[in-house]
This record gives sequence, structure tokens and C-alpha cells, in this order.
Amino acid sequence: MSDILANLQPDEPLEPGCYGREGVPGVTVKTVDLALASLIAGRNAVAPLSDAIKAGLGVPLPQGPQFAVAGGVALIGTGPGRWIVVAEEQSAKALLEHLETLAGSFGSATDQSDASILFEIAGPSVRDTLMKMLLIDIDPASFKPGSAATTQAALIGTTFWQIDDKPTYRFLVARSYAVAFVRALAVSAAEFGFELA
Amino acid sequence: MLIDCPYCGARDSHEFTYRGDATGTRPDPAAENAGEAFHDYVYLRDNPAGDHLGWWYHGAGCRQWLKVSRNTLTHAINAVRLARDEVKS
Amino acid sequence: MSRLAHGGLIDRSRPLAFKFAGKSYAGYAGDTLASALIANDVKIVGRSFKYHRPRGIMTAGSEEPNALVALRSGARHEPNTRATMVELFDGLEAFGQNAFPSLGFDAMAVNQLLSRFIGAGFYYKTFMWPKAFWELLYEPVVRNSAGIGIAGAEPDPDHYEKVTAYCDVLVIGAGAAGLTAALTAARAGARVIIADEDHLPGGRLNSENVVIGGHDGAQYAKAAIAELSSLPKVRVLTRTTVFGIYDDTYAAVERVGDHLAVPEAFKPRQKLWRIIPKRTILAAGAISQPIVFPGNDRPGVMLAQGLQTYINRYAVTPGQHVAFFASNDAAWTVAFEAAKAGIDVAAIIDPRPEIRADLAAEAKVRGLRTLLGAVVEQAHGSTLKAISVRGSQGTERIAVDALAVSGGHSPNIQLACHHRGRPDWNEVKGALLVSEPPPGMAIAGAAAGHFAISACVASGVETGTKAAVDCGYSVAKAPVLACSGHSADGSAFFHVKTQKGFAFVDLQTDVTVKDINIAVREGFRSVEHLKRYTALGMGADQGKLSNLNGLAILAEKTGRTIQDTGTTIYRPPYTSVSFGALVGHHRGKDFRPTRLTPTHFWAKKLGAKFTETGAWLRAQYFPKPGEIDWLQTVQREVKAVRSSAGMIDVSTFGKIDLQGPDVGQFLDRVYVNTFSTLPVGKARYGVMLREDGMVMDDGTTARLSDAQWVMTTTTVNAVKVFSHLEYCLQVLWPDLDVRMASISEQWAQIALAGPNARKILQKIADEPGRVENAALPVMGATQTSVMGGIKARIFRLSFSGELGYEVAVPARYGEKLAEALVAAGEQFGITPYGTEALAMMRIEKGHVSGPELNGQTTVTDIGLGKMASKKKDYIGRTLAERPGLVDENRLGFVGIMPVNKKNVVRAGIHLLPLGAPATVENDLGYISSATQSATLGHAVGVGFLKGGPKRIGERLRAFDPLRGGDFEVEICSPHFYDPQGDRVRV
Repeated sequence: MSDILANLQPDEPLEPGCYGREGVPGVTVKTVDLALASLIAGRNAVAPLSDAIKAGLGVPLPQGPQFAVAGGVALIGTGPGRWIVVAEEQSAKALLEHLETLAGSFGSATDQSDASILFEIAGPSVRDTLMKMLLIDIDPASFKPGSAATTQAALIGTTFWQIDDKPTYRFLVARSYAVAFVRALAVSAAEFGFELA
Repeated sequence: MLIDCPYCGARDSHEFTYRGDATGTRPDPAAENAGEAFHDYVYLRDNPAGDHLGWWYHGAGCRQWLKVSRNTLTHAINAVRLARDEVKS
Repeated sequence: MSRLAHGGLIDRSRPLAFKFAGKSYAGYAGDTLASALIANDVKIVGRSFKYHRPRGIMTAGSEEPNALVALRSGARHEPNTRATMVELFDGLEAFGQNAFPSLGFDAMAVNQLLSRFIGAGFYYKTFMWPKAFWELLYEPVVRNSAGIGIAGAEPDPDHYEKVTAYCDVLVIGAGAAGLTAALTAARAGARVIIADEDHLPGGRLNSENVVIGGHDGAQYAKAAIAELSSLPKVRVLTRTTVFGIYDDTYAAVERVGDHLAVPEAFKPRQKLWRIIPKRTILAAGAISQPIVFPGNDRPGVMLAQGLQTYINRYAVTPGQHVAFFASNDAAWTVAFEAAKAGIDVAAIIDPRPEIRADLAAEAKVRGLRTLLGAVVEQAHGSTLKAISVRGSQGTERIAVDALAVSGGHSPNIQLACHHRGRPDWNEVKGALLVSEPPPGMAIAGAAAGHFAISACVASGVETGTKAAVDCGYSVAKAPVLACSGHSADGSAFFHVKTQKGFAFVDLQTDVTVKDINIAVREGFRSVEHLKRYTALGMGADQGKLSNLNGLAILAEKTGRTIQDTGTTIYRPPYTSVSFGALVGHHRGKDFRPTRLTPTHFWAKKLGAKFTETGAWLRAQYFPKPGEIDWLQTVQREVKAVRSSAGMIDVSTFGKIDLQGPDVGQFLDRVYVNTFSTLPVGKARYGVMLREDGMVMDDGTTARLSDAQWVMTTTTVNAVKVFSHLEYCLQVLWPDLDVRMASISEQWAQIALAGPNARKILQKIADEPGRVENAALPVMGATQTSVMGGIKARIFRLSFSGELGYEVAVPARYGEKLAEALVAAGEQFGITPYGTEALAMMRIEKGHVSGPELNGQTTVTDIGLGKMASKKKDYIGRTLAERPGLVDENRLGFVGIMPVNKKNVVRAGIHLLPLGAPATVENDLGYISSATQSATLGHAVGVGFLKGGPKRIGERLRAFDPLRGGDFEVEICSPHFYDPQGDRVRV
């Protein structure tokens, strides 16, 4: 059992602070509270839906596992005809209404602002840490700013994307798994130093 | 074993669940021999030592059902298609 | 002491203290445990598996069969560790194994005297009579003598990690071929991972005297690793064994902290690497082969390649008077190196009739005695004292304390065969080689049969080039490195033909030539049968030093070629892997991640006890001080709900948002009952079948608006149902326009139940009128707000049988909702309850749940046959109508009451006719769920009985042999409490 977890029960959240190796933390984590919604295209309606979104938000819907942002709204492709929408400055209610209006009959939106916790993860050792949790390749040759993936991290489902080339990542994790996710992240990052905001 | 999901890219088989044979079509329940047809559809399977067509569900990823042609001897994957693309053709 | 005065790659300025078998010794940094034991003249390091013969160190690598020691004590105790692979550290403690009372004197050595009776397969012919002796005597004796080491009994205190890494080129082995291959690919810009099991990369370059490109081999290795480590796209893994190929993934274990007394803070003890390369180069080298002859297991008999490593790398010698018995030139080179180091070389014995002129000349110059066309007939001494040599002149005895043998080379091709491949016997090279490795793999260096250094290096460059080019990089032509080393000529020599003594083929499982004879005589002629019958190749070394000799001898005895005899299947792991590495972080409570409900911490503060439902922790019951057991608590909770009010978190149910024009039609096709007619603002209970007609799941689906519905599923089936619905939409009915999203996590949902539920709810609802009886009748659904503006969905549903509501709010407000309900309900004595009370109440009502939806029951079996529509097709309908599934004698859902109210009814009890013997033929059914009902004052059960509800009123026998119950019961309706459902409608 890693030293960090020696006394921590699986249902005890890790308190904010620094853990593991001392000095400049190799990995930093904070949570961001933003409005979220899922958007799903109707049958044969991906094209008109994308046009409507482009007209309304300024960016078309990504056609693959990518992350596109315009006007404070980010669109992340999670599957064919499915997206997660993240809004920096709108309330959950405003985002949902906005999407419903834009989508019309071409798609359906659902509020997901409480379904997930959004973690922003960065630091000089972030890739070495994430390699212990992910089964996919996040080497800069394969995963760049704008890349997104829906997969598992330490057996916990997640959708994540890369926002810059420091690199900084954003991970969406189901609320019920948030404590377990931080626990796995802390153990993986311990040898590099880990800071939870 | 890696499965090349058409949406997500190559992913470890841990992300998928395997349902089984993908060569059957759901019979017409109104047909006269529906009982027998459904019995064959649900229970009878070929078990080839070689290329096999099966349904895989990418539950930990894009949640798409995929039709995968895989060699049961070598585990080589010959082709992967989204179910929705299969139906279009 | 047998430490040589000069040389070696050890650090003589860093002495280390260690203990073996209770005695203290000293060594140096850079030693292995084996080299340090040799330096201290420790000859016996273990006792063999069956015959308990004294054994010494045979090799200097991971193919070591004899020097299996137990390392460390206490929680870190590790049995069966190869001393040759243990990096010496200060304070290391190791123990001998398989010997009592000591390695020096082992009482079990008496087994050798019984060898006639305990040859191959003896356990198929013994321990059979008398039958009673098996449990009393034979099994305990066999169990005690089985194995070599003893497993530790304490939990492993270290932690382990798993990592996934992708690359262009994976190079397995950092010897001459591996290093040149990696450099070639890395210089071309490829992502390279190079792995070596040693802490010091270089392979044989650190043990042999070779020159590469003008540099001493060890220097070349050092420079190559420095260059590789400096390149950002290259990862150098030392102390890392690639142990298997699993389809596209290569698995390796990195021994991060094995060489330290305690792992560094925050670092794992070992790390499992899952590597997915585009191309692989197997440059794992080759090991030398022993020769089979009587006494070939005596401590002091060693592989020539191992002796060379001990002299050159560790500056130790296992003996003062060493002879050489080999059929290849490489061993002559070792003899010359030994002589140069000042060791007395008693003789070089070579079965070949002729030898290269330059080797003969050098032997002469050094004054070394050579016997050509000769063999060692026997090794003498409990530790080696002398050998008998048979040559053209007759037999003579030579006094030696070490004998270096080499019958040829075995390329380490195991990994190349992990995809069911088999090697071919190459007569010219005298080696098993693989011609068709797995896709993407090339074999280089000695592993490909290139035993001379220049061929090794050339093959490294060639394979490295091809791999980089295949990955899309261009390789600049590099100047050819000039290399020099020993001659690689030789011929394979397997065994000395003689009838005398113990001639060991497999040292780890004590298999001798005589055992192969027995196997052949008894008809076990296939190499796979030979392995299982004799145990040859089944030890921890997996036959690295025995398989080839074994199959060569088998071939000879059955009159076949080696190629026709073939090899056994090669399987991972190449060397043993600890469970810790395979498991990584996911052990104990982290086996799988824990899911917490939105009110988890609120419940914890109230002292709830939790239970695991799948990955979830759910509150099971809320004990109050003074309550003596869970039953008392649960019965209190139930009484509180039925008399006033209670609340339970039901957030764990699957919740699915369904939108679009075709949802109603879709639901009609997946549920047995009709949903397309469901009005807005209503919920309906539905049952879903599998296509084979069995019930899969149940739940309620509500219609919030014309085109928006919300479905619930059971907790444990949430994922299964969602994937089933996806299958229906994507594969079966892609024409339906349905937009489906999981909202299980979006909403916290609390069930509020009891006669005062409405009063409590109205205190927190922003529009209390919306939940009046008429406004929200039974099965109604409404979207509103609570607690001053928090959006909420309220469903009037009851699982408990009392007036009930389920209140859903966005998950972040879950705790706030719980606290608000507690405050609002305080005057009514609102009671939080958990899964136990939930179960007790639903059994009292006769509702089916998980134990009844067990995959073997139809909708009729569970008493809900009337729900199934006859007007539409739905999943499972056709096969549900099979005669066998509608037979009236099927097990139908009933209630069970004990006649004597004091009897305890339990799930799992079987029902039999009164007075009938308890046999399978008389079995009438079973109890699926039971409870000690607080409401009824006695135990009741529900379950499945042949003939079902027709038998209400009958008395039967409840048979519970495992828990000691056997009593009379009466069959009744499963709806014990308020069968009319009046209390729900108030």
C-alpha cells in the first residue's frame, strides 16, 4: 500500500494539500465547476445539427474524438453523433436552453452539470503519471491539444482532452467516482510530488 | 489484443464486451416458423477455427456496437465496422 | 576466499555485509548473491527437489536451476529466488531451501536410496492402498515434500504499479545486437524502448573479451546506453524482463526496488510495463547448454558461459583446479581466460576429434592439457572432487574442484513462440531457431543463431534499420563496426552414453536419463507426454537448461530426428512474475474503484453501516446507540416507515434520458407491456426480457413531456440494460429516432415513504399544491422545484408499500435534500433507512427483486404474466412462448410462512412434500428471499414452487440442511402486507 494511502479509507476524500515527494510538485490537480450538457444528434441529423451549432456557436461539431472551442463553449466528441458541451460562463439552465434552441428537432440536449467532476491536471510529470492510469497513448506524437478520448483511467470511466501543450488536460469523471479517481491519481503521482488544490 | 474502433482508434480489448456471433438477423416474429427461427437465432452458432464475425460493444469508449472480423486462432483482427455503418450498406 | 585479485566490474571500494543460511559474509557492490557466495567458497546453496542432493551454483543468469534461495524474512519473505539474479545489498539476508536440518546435512537425502521406487511417474503407481491412508498419511507427507520454497504468510507491504507505454520499436535485450539495433532505430528518430533484465546493460559484453569498433565490449555498452539515455524519444529500462507477448501487447516487469533493502519512498517495488510497439526486435541472446552425464549435478559443475562471467565480470572463481568439458570453441576461450587469471586449468576435454590449429597452439603455449575425442564419464564427490575421463587411451581420473561444461548454445527464442510458434532444429548451428516469429517481430544476434560478435552486431544493425524504416523513418547508412571476439564454431553434444549413476537431464525437477527411459518404455513417446509424465521442463526455470537435452535423448531413444520429435509449447511468463506486479494498484479495497452516492458522507455522519452493491457503497442500516444487532435496527427502521416516515437514498438505480419522436415505439419493443400510450406526467412499471424469454430487468419509466422520458433500471443491471438498449437502437432498429443519454450520475434521488410522507414533502416543495393527492396521484411524475428554487423531479412511487415519493435533485444538492428532509420530518420522527429495511418491506409486499430476477425466471414465473402484451412484438416474446416456458408445472412465485412462528425462514431453503425423503427427485422449489418481518412479527419468505399459486394453502417441508433447519411451512400469497395496496393510495 502506497504511503499516502496507508490510512485513507476508499471513501475518505483526499484533503487539499501536497503529497508524496517533496519540492516542486510533478503533478497539480484542481477541480473546475462549469455547466455541462450532453448533445445527441437525431437519426440522419448530424449534418443539419452541425450546421445549426456552427451558426449559433461559431464552430462546427467535431466529427471524431476531438475538442473544439468557440465563444466560451467547448464541444467534445464522445461518439458518432454524441458530444459533451462545456460552457465557461453560462449557467446550467442557460446552456441547456441555448442548446435546445439551436438543435431544434435535429438533436436533443440533457443537463449533465452535476453528473461529472471536471479535473484540470498539469505539471512536469503529468504524462508519466497518466501512463500509469491510461491504456491509450498520450505521447505528443499521438495526442495533442485538441485531442480527446473517452476511455478508462485506473478502471474509472472518463472523457478527457488536452487544452495546451504544457501539457494541461481536463478530465471529466462521474461524480460517484471522483474520490476514487483522486485516490488513484495521488498514488500514481506520489513519486513525482502531487498537489491537490 | 487491440481492436481498431472506427471512432476512437485502436483500443485494448479491456474496453469492450463481447456479445457473440454477428451473422444472424433477428427473425420476423410474425412468420409461421418464428419459434424455430428465433431458437436458431438465439442458440445455434458456428464455431470456426479461423475468421469469425462477432459483435463487440465499446462500453468504456464511444458506446458503439462494432462488427469485428477476427481470426479465432491468431487473434488477428481483419476488419472493424460500426453497426450503424453496416446497416447503411 | 575465491576472489581474484584484479579485474571485474565490481566496486572494491564499497564492501557489503550479507548473511546466508545463518552465516555472515562480505561481498562488494556489483556482486550478485551468487558471485558473493562463490567468493566466500560457499559450495552448497540448495537441495534438489526430489532426491535432496546437494546443489551448487550452475550459471550466472536467469536460467539458474539450482541456486534457489529464500530472500528476506517477515512480510517481504520471497521463496525460490535465483541467487544469480539477486543484486547484493548491504544487510541482505538469504536462506537455503528444501533442506532439514541444514543445507550441509539434509535428512531427506535418504530419498536417493529409494530412487528405484521414486522414478518418473511413481505417484501414478503408489499411494493407492489402503484407501484410508490417503487423507491420514499420504497426502500430508506428499504435501510436506512438494515444492522447494515456502511461501510467506503475511500481506505484502510494498506497493506495485502498472504502466502502459507505446513505441515504434521495442528492443528486448541490451547486448551487442540489442544495443546496435536500438541505436540504429533511435538515431533515425524512432520512439524506442530497450529493456534488459540486468541492472547493467551490455549482456555478454560485460562478461566476454570482445572488441566492437575499436572499443572494449563493456566500454562500448556503456557509451551506447549513455547515448540512448540522452535521446528524448528513447526509454531505457534496466532490471526489466519482458516476460510474454499477449496478442499486441508485450508485458515486462521492472524490478524497481528489489535490489534495495526497502523500496525508495513513493516508488513501487516492481512495475508492470504493458508495451504496445509497432515493431519488436528480440535480441535476448543465447545461453549455453549443459551436458548430461553421471554426477553432472555435483556442486562445482558449472556452465562454461557462467564461469566466464564469474571470472571476467565478478572476479571470482568457483574452483582452484578447473577442468573444461565442451564441444565448442567458445569454451576453449574461457579456459584460456581462466588460465590468464591465474586459475589452474587441469584439462580441456572435447568430444570432437579435431580442433582448430590456433586453439591447439594457444593451449600448448599456456601448457594446458587437452584431450580430444574424450568425454567425462562421471563426476565424483558430494561436492566435486574428481572426474573420470574416457578417451581413446582409456579412462583416467583427474582431481578437480570445478568443471565447466558446454554442450552448445540455446538461443532464447521463447518470446518468439508465444503466439503458438514452434522452433526448427538447425543442424548446422546445433540450435533451435525460429523462422516465423509473431507479426512485427524480428530476431537478432545470438537469439537468431549469430554466435560470433561481428554477425551479432551486423544483425542488430540490419533489424534496427528495417524496424525504423517500417515505422516510417529513414536510416542513414552507418559505417560497419569492426569487431573481434572468439570463434563460434562447435557442434551440439547432448549426453554421454552410459548406464551408470544419476545423469540429470532436468536439475530443477530431478529428472534423470533413467526417467526418460521409463517414460519411453511405458509408451509416453510424445515430447508433451514426456514432459508431463516425468516433470521434465516443469520447474520454475521452465526447462531452459533441460528441454533441449531431453528432447535430443528422447529422439535418440525413439529413433527419430530432433526436428520430428519437436518441442513442447512455449508459454508466458519467461521467468516468474510476482502477483503484486500483475495487480498493481488494484488490490484489497482498491480491487475496483468505489462508487459513492450523493448522500454518502451525510449517511456516514449518522453512523450508517455500508454494504457493497457492485462498486457502490450503500447505507445498509443506521444503528442507534444501545441497539444490540442489525436486526433490531432494521426492524425499528421498518416500523418507523410504516407508522410515520422514513427516507432512503435510491440514487444508484440506472437512470436513462430518452428523447425523440420514436421513444414510445422503442419502449414498446423492449418492455413486455405498452408504454407508447403512457400520458405525460405518469410513470409505469415495466419488465424487460432477454431474447430467450427470461426476465432481464425491471424498472419504472416516466413520461416527462411528449418527447422526453426517463427510464430507471436496477442498480446492478444499469450498465447491462444500457448496452442492451444501445444494441437495439444501433443494430436491430436503426430507423428509430431515439436520443439516449445516461443521467444516472446527474440526479441524486431519495425515496420518502410513510403515512406522513406527503406532509413532509410539502414542507420542502416550492409549490406544495403540486404534490396533493389529486395533483400527483399514484404513479404520477412532475417537474418542479424544492428548497427555494432547486429544480426537482418528483415521482409518486412506492416500493415499501406505504405512501411514497421519489425526489430527484441535481446531484450536488443530494446532501442538502437529505438534510432538508430530516429537518422537515423531525416532528414526524422521520427515520433514515438502508438496504436491509428496504428489502424487508418489499418482501412483506411480495415485490420481486434481484433474487427473483435471476435469469431463470419468466414474467409468468414471477407472477406478472398479465403484464405481457399480446398485441405487440417485444424482445423475448417469441421464445417466452415456448412450451417449456409456459408449462403450468413450472416453478411459480409464492409466499412461504412457517407454521411454527418461531422458525426462521431463510433464502436458499428448499421445499419438499411433507414426509418425503430429501432427494433431488422430490425437490419442489426454493425460497429466494426471506426476512424476519417487523410488521408481521415472524419470519416470512417468497420463492418459487412447482405449480405456483395453485398450491396456496398447502403445507410443505422446508429443508435447510446446511444451517440445520427442517420445519413445516404453509404456502400463501406473497403479498403479506396490504395486498390491496390501499396504503399507497392515501
